[in-house]
Amino acid sequence: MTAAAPNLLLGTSGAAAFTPITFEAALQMERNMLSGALPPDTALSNASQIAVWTTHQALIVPSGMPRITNFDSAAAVLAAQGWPVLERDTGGDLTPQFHGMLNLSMSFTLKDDERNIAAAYGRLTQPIIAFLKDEFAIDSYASSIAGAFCDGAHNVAIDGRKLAGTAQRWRLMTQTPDRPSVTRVLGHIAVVCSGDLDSALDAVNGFYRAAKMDREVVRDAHISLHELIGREAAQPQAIAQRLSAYLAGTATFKTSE
Amino acid sequence: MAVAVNVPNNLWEEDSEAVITNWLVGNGGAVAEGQLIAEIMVEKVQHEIRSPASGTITIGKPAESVVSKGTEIATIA
Repeated sequence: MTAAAPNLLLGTSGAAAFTPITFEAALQMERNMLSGALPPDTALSNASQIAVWTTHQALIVPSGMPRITNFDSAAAVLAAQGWPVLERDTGGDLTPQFHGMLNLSMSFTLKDDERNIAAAYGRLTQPIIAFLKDEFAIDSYASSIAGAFCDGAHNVAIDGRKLAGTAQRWRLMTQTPDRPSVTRVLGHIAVVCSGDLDSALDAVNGFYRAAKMDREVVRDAHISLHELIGREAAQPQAIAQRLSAYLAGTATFKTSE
Repeated sequence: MAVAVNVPNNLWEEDSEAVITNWLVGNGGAVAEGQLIAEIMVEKVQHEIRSPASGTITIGKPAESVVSKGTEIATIA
């Protein structure tokens, strides 16, 4: 199987130029990571495999959401406005993707006694929280934020506003007589770096209105790195490179498998 | 004899309930052992449910049903 190329796959050499990949390529890459089809990470041996990427403007929904009433008509309305609606494999709710959003996909394995959901989310959020603190002296924490898109208990938040969202997909690998069962995890964290967050949130609300869903996201529930460290420093490529170097140099992701 | 499709007790550690987000096969359809047949979500984690046997599936819990670990969601005959 040929793996779709991420922008950066930590631990591999010769990372491609940091340009947006199609969401279909990102989805295939994540599926390969979950199935273990991508080559083992070299710099982070026995650790998580991580890809850092951006994609084009779109609204991304979890599996099952296309079943809702008015989904197709709402998707058509938003597609006509430049926001195609695409389906992902991880859980959660409607999430915007745009050029200022930086995505980290991570795959790792949980043993029989490690299937704690909160702990698995910690493997996504704690490295980002540490990165923000160490590199920018920004204090952040994991929390739900009312009014944020795709809200959940494991957002990365700053002063009551959502900076990053998380979701996962778990695959229980069948137990065999000589091997206990393990769970393969695909984790995803999306960080709002820069770009037109206002338009992205407008698109989310536009979808809810078109689908006649009584929901709304609010701008004050969100924050971008742009607002904290300035536009140039917050460009996704700059953050990706800095984050990749940070993660490669830290033991944060080094966990047993 | 019908084989029950239960939400595995070891999918996740917490006592949280889940929601069936998607049936990937139709009621009365043929399924193969090990085939991905459903997805259930808890705390934004999408879990995969695979068929424990080959045969014809009868879905007992439709999409959007709230389920717990151990809940029977279908049978396969």
